[in-house]
Amino acid sequence: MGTKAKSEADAVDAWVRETLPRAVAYARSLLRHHAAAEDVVHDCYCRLLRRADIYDLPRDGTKLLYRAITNACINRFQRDRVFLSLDAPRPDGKAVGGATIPSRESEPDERLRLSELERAIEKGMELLSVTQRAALQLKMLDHSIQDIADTLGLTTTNTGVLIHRARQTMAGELASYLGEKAG
Amino acid sequence: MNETGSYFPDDLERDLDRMLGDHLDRQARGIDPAPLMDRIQKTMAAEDPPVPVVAPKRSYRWLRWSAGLATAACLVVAVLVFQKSDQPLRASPQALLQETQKTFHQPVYRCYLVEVQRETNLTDESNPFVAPQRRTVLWTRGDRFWMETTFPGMPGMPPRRNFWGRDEQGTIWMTTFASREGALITPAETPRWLSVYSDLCSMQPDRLIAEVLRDFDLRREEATEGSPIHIITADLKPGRWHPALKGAVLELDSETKVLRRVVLQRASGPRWGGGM
Repeated sequence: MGTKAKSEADAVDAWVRETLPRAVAYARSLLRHHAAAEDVVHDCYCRLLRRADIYDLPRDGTKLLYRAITNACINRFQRDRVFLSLDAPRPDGKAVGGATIPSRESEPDERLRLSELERAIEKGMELLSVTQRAALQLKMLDHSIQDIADTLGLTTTNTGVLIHRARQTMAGELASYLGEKAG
Repeated sequence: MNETGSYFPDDLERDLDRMLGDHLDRQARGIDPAPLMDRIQKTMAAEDPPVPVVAPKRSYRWLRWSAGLATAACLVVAVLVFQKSDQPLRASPQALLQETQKTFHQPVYRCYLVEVQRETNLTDESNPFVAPQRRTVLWTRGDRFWMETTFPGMPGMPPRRNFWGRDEQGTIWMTTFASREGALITPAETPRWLSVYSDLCSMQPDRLIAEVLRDFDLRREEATEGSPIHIITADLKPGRWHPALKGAVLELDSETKVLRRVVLQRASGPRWGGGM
């Protein structure tokens, strides 16, 4: 392999390594299932890597990746509505697989507060449709309204409404954390 | 009016977005990318590298036309040959398993005879728990199960039997070998490993088949004419990962498509076989 080809391969490798955790977290937030999210992310990366000779992945890949993950998750969510898993969240709301809250916030009261907040956010996310979750999370990932609309195949107006409603639902669930502003 | 075209208060929107963004960051920080990265690399390594796109040359257009016509002619011949044949069309393993899945949509009791074989020489005859073989009768209904395991006895002693299960509330119960004492473990007290093991014991074959259809390469074994069973061998697809299995052999009743026997090759540990 030539020096140029090797440096390109290294750049793609670094791009995968850098974007992977957030991509899995995003897919997991849409599917609510860690193993299924990993499957989707795996397939989407492989599809993009097969076209690495056409796309400049370190430059344009992230947008393509999130578009692919969003569509795959929506398709999968609609196809497998009843999904039983050993890794599904337990009835008490604790996630049993995948991500855990890092222990960086070492003060016990801070960890407890964060743990409660995580549960409240997860509970709020459960109330959203998969399309609302995708629109809201893509907004969190700094995608523009136009990009989100293109990804979801909606108009910008409908995308704006979708995000607004998702925020309203989340604000209602997180009212006690947002203080009087949400009241 | 803000960017999303709504009247959501800007400061509330900012606080909410920050809260949700931080949540996604925390989730991402808790994910170890190494195993999935490894899986992606293995999948890509198992495939050919992408072929560069080369613009077709005009002078070879006639060759492509000829190749296309030849392919079409071959297809026509193939269709004629198959139409003449008396052999019935052979169903794909995927189609057979999809038929089998339909048979599990009824809440009925099922009984399995499970045999566990360890593929290791590290056995200790004095300890029945590491016996190379043990037999279990397993009754299931949905998430509920009732299990009786018979271990070979100590030298000069009769075999020992052990009972345990899970009820409809998710409480795990078990008895001691003497069956005079027992233990109840409520769902809130159940450790993760026991919960996973219990899910495996509840043997929900429809879930197993859904996973096999998704993550495994399927091959239908040749069977003698008039055989009462179809045998399907499943091997994990390259680059795929499964928490418990690396392969399976499924035997289906050729008439009813009911699952008759399953041999599961676990990712690590003993081989499990079950027959209904």
